[in-house]
Amino acid sequence: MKTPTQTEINLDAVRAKLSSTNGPEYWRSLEEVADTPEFKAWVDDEFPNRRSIADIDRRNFLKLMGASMLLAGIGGCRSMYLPSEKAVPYVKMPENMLPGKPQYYATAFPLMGTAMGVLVQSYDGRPIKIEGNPSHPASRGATDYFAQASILDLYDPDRMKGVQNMGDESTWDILISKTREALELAKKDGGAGIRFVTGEVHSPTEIRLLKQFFAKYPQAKIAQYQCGGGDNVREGSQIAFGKAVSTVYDLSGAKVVLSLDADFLHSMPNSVAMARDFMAGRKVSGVNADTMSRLYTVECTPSPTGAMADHRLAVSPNGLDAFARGVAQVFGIEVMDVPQSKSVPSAWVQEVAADLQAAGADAVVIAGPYAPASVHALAHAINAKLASTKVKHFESGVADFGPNATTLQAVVADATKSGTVNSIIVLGGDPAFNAPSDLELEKAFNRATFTVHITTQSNDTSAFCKWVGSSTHYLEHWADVTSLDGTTSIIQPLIAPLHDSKSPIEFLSLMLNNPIGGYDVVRETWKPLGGAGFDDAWSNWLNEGVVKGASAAPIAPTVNASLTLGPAQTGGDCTVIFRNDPTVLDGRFANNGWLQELPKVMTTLTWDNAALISANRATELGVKDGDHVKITVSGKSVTMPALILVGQSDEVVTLHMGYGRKAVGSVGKDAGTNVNALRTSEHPYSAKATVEKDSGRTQLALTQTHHSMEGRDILKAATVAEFKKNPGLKVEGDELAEKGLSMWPSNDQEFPWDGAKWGMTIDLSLCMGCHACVAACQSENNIPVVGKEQVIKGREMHWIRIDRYYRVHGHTEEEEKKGVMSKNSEITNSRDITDPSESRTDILNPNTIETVFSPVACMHCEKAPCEPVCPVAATVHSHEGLNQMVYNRCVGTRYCSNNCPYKVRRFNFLNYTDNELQFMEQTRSIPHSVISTEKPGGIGLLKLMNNPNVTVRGRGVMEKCTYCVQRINQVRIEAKKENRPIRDGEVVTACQQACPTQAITFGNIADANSAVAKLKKEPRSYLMLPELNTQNRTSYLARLRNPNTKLEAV
Amino acid sequence: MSALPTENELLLTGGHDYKSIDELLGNIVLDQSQHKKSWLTVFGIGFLVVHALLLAVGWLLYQGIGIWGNNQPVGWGFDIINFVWWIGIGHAGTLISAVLLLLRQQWRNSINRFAEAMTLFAVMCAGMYPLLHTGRPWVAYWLFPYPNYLAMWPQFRSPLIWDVFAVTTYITISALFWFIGLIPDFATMRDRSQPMWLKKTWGLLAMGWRGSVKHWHRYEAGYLILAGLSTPLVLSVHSIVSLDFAVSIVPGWNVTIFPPYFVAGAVFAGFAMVITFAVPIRSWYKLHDVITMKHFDWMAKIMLATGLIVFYGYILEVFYAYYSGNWAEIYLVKNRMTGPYAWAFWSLWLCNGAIPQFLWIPKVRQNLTVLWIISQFVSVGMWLERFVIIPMSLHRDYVPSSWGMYYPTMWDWMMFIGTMGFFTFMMMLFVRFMPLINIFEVKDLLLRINHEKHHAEHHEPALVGAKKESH
Repeated sequence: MKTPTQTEINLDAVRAKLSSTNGPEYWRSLEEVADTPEFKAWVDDEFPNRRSIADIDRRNFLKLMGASMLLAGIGGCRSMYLPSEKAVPYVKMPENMLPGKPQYYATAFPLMGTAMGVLVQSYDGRPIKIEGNPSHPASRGATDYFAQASILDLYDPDRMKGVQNMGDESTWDILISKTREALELAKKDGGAGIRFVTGEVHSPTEIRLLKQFFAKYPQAKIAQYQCGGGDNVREGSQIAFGKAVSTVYDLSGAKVVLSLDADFLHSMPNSVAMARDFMAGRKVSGVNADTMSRLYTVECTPSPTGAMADHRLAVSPNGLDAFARGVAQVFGIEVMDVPQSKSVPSAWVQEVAADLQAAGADAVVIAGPYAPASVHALAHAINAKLASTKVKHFESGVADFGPNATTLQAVVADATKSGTVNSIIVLGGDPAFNAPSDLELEKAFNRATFTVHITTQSNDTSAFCKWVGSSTHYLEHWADVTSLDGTTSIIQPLIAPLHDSKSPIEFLSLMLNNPIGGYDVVRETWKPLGGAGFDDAWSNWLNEGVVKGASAAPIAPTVNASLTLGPAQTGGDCTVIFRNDPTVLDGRFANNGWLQELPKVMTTLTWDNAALISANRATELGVKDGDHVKITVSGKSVTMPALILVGQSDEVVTLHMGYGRKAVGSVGKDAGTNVNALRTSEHPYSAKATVEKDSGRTQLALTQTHHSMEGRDILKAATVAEFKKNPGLKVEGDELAEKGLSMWPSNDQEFPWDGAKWGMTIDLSLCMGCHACVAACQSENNIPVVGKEQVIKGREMHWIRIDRYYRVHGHTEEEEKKGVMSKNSEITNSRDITDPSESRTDILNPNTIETVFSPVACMHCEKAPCEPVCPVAATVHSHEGLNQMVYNRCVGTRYCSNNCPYKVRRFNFLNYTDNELQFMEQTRSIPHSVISTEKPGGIGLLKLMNNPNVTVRGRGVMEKCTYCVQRINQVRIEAKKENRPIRDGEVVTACQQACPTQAITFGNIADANSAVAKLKKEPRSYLMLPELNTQNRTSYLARLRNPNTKLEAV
Repeated sequence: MSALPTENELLLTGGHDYKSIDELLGNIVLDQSQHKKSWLTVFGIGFLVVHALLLAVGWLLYQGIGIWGNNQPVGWGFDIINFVWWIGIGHAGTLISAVLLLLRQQWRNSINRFAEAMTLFAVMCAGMYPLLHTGRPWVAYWLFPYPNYLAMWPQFRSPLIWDVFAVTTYITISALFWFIGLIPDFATMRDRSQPMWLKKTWGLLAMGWRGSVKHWHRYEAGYLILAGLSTPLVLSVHSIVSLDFAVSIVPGWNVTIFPPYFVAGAVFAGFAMVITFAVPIRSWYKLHDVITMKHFDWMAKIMLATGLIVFYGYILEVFYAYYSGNWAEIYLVKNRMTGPYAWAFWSLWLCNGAIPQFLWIPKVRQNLTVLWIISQFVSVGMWLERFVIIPMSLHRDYVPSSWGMYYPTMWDWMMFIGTMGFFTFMMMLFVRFMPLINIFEVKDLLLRINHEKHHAEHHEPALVGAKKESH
């Protein structure tokens, strides 16, 4: 058929036709008006212009068909195998990069006045996991949970992006030009109107740039403020030495340690290194327990260090001061005034002092950052008397800006009273939230004409600043940092900035009209040290993660002959103390889901802060866990839920700062109560207060609601004396369990296997419950965050949990007579707030409480009860003894979990992976209901963080600890390539790698020479619930305590 | 004529003949005007609640079982409680139809049909739970052994697989049994109904039944074979359901007495449910002549007997916990009696232990109101029994750090009540559109009564044994 265009149009007919029409008539083409039969056919045809198949010859037909099929095939490929976006392959392969092979880069994680050297695992350019850097003295291969969770902050969808001016989007160019305008104006008076507000500055480059700035603007000032920072520490060293020094404790070989409210194992700067060294002195091999060191902890609120102590004394801050003065007096130090405190038994003072003296140079006294300055001064004096070799002093790591230094108070005063401050530049931090509220920082911000905040997250301070610039995360920028002991590391980026951000260093450099990138600025700082071989040295420093030759040498300051301690504080039977929250710190991690959901070590509380009170005070007030209490400090009051903490002093109420942030992302929204309102700049960390019961209650999300062992032999703990008597710590019934009577043939008979048999041991003597393993496991295994509601329902997903139980020891004869508690009886202390039928019957003496931790993950039972009950064989046993979950096969009957005596299995009750709070934008349109919509880029951003070697689990699937099977397989592949067996210690599980105290050992138990097999032969080795004969591959080593027999009776 | 009525005469009163029986029973279906407001009310409620079920299931499929109260450590809550409860309720039907048939108990005739229907509907309700309680119901078919390219079989050691076989067999046999029993009555309906379409429908269902001797012969043989097949099922289904628990190592589940104790409990609950429905239906459709007080008397006695077995089980559980010396078992009993859910335990003892003892009193067995109320207690008690066994054992097992509490959510309740609505809905449809009482077996009863009368009149001195034997 021919199309009409090919027809000759009879123009005459067209003319004739047009002439016969009347009025306006529209026609589309000559063909139409000609109205040829061809045109009619063309109109009638549904698919005009096609070529009839009949018109195509055979060759063309085959060509077209071939091409069609090819295209169809390619189309199929695209949806299946090709990304929908344009992808460009590596034309030139980057050096050392193999797709799917991780790379590790050394960098450093700066936090709270120190830094931890870390190795960051990166897959195809995406940082996905933080490990400790073995060559960095603050890490030595281990980490804490902050380092582990810091990676989540990088990918946080709520992060600050780009630049904002009064809430509107702006650009860096505008901000920089505005900044320069402000600086230009300030030039007249030498920058008298410029104030920097920063955290403690520990970066040599930042110090260099700031000093350059102050050279240019001599009148400008900087206020360094760190919530929970070391004001008392500095003041104490001022009293003792006449100058501020930074003190580092090297606890290797320490025999006797006295902690004066110092949680040196867990929450102090450099804790990871201190825990490693201290615990090395607690390791017991065989039956020889005499080598164990001894730890006395005198503390105001229970801490992991208190839990690990051989003797623990709960005191008020005044009692702490009294205790320190008492001990110092024994050492012959002039202390002016030794007050009597009812919480300080004199026998304690005498015995502790005697024990310290006996240990001499191997003893050390450590004062905590919140301890009064007098306690710090006395600790320095005692250490000097002991000639302790465990203390090292360095020039203070905090930058000293001399005349340019100021304080927050002065900034506020200058801004509001004299009105001289017109520009405030805040580098990081959130002082508007976490500074004592009586400072009224917002007034200063309101008065200043130019305020800028360089920050990774939008917080209360950014809300007050006219300009907010997004700061890069430490994994995105070049910087450097000095840790407490003077070790300096270069911070190198793992990834280009995800958002339009600049680092504080870059911003400072731009302020100095020095438009070079962070890389060159940092290099400039270090060029003098590198000298001629700078480039080689530089790559060496980056590789090692430590700048060689930059470490400061220790100094030996002398203690002043007389200490001006001031009078001892007395009075007040109720003191509130303010501490940085164990997980969200001063609020900086409030939008970090991993840290929000990480159980706080002593309370197992998540997603909230609570007023921690003693059982006695709770009885007095008539409150139960979660009931609201009103805490009043000099007229200001805060209402928040109470939580009973065993071991808390009756005189002290502990409040954790960091919660209740107003400006925060969707994760930290509505979490906890802001207690900063109660703090004053005069008494920022403790105050006299009244506590009363208030109406209302909050359901607290506790991960462990029952803390008594109910008389069961689940966990073995003993004193050294008991251990010597009964090295196996056997109890009645153990022999029966050890016989392993079973109807079933053993696995060896059933499935003979001469390859590796994986197994694990956990030494409870070394476990202080620090939860680094929990965070490491979460990061390694793509474990989702479930949120507060789900935690309350008991659906947290952590594969490893830290069980915490209480025991009683060192009770008095009188108590025993009264029958209040019997020897080593467990406390019936139910934290089951929903369970009123159980009441606390014991009036607890906080000093007799022993807190014991036990990490529990899948036991990898050889006769696993979960396996036979799965209807679809989704949980099966591997040759090497792993109890495996086949996620794809799992139907989700949950029978395996029911049948697991250790309750280590975790179920995806909802689609947790995609429903994480971070993904969601919450809008409250209807009262009491939250409508969540997906955040733009939310899921995509967090997906970058997933470990590609671990399946991401969806809804309805059971999961649990795999012994990090992906790591085993990686090592196996390497070993096979080299045609050798896997070496002992080559496979390191994520929990083991993170553990600061090396409590976890993993390896091949079939190899009698492996570390794990040797530990399993230790007399302290035991299995959990051996009578069930599940033949666990994870075993424990009993917890030992080394009490001072003279103090035992007290 | 003897002065005292014979046993069979007590089961059919009112002086019926064959025609009046046809009318009395057949007209429930054929004369739709018999269905009054009471039917409509109950049906309406059932119908509405079915929608709640649909909503609950829809939301469940959309969100996942996190909408329920299940958690760590309580992996099974309402889902499995209700599964076991419904399965148990089904048991009376099978027992009545199969076991009593084999034992030649004539009194089963007027209640077997709707007891069987109850079985079917109860198993449907029960069956929903194991399917929907899985985390990924769209792959729940993996529990069936079907050929697949992965050559993957289910894991035959798991009691859940045994469950799959037990329950599917159970529902298949029950449905067949029910349908075959209906065939002669379908033929009656076909013969008695007027409109052609209705005749054809009944005719299809009657499968060409003409009532010839050959048909009857085959029918009897087939029915007996199915009864023979069903009889072991009465024991096996609930035994296997009990093995879901008995095979585990959870204290409180790992109990060897579970199989017989579950079976007795099932029959106990099943009869309670039969009474629950029989009492109102009898009154609505004036069935006093065919469902007589004698029937209720016997059902009450069976309830009493099975109730005693169940109560004995409870006592033994307590005894064995102490006798074992096992700390986990001892704690379990302590926790049941004094723990946070002690109310459930003591309510269970009240409902299933104490209250059924009233059935010893003949007057109570004759008073339908009291009997009905006792049946409700038994139903609640049997539900509590599963609550005590399932979440209460799980919420505190071996490791105290993992102990928790279980609270059902609104969706748990909605689905549970929804299944009750579904059950009621189906029962009401059944009552209206199917012959709910076995017409031909009641006629057979009449034949026997007449036969006995005949014997009594003409062969008074005949052998004693002949009295019961019919030819």
